[in-house]
Amino acid sequence: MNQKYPSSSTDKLDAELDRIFDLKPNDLSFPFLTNMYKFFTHPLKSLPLLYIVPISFFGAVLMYLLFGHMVIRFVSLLQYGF
Amino acid sequence: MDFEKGVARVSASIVLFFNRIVRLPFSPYKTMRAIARDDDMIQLVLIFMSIGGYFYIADTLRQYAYHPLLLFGLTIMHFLLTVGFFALLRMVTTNEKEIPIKSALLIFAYALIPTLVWFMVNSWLYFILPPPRTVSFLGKGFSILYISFSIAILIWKVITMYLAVRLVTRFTFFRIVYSMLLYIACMIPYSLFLYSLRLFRIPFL
Repeated sequence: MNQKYPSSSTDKLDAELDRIFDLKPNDLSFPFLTNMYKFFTHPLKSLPLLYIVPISFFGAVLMYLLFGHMVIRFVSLLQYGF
Repeated sequence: MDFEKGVARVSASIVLFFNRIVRLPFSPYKTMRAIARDDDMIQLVLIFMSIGGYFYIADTLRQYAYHPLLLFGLTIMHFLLTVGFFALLRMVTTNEKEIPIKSALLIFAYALIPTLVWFMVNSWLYFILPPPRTVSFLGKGFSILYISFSIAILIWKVITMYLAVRLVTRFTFFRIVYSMLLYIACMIPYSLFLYSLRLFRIPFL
């Protein structure tokens, strides 16, 4: 547990800036790609469950609609296998 | 006095461990960055105790071909190889001679949590609702819920694994993708070898 606990406000600001710029932001070389990356990753940084839960549910329903009973057999296989 | 300090330190680590596990699905980015600044090995021990506990519980719920201790030992070896792979990749590509290995171990250990949750839930479901699933209304409903839960855990795993590689190697997006492909390429023969020994649960943890 090597986290710093600064006392003065300047120290706190320094520590916060260190923490923020510790990791360089992602640059995908092309501005369009970088913007797309930020667009898709921004919602995943905080409360990704809001997106993950509906996506996974609709994904599962879509799988069932596409593959039918194979999905049920796949679930049995996963349950037996692991 | 030393004993009191030790107890306080272990208690703080236990609180942090549960706090981070709860926060990991809600704000993975902030939580993983906080973990990256930490090097508390007690939390690493707690994570591996949970994994060891899972192997013992799973073995009680259904008998596996191998002893849980063997599976646990292989999991630790696999984990160390994974951390070593990415640490080595960082050292080779950035010419850094030293990397914070304790922090790297802790980050990758927290990245195991989503898979551990999936395996635990799967073992309990096997015990409560044993397969095979049927084509009845309830069977279909359970299958859809099970698949959606598995997809959600998979996405959570991809996010935490991506963040773990990013924070340990400091690579940018494309480099992370290439390093993950290289990792998967190394893993395929290893996984097939373990599969031939009926030890296919290990690579997924």
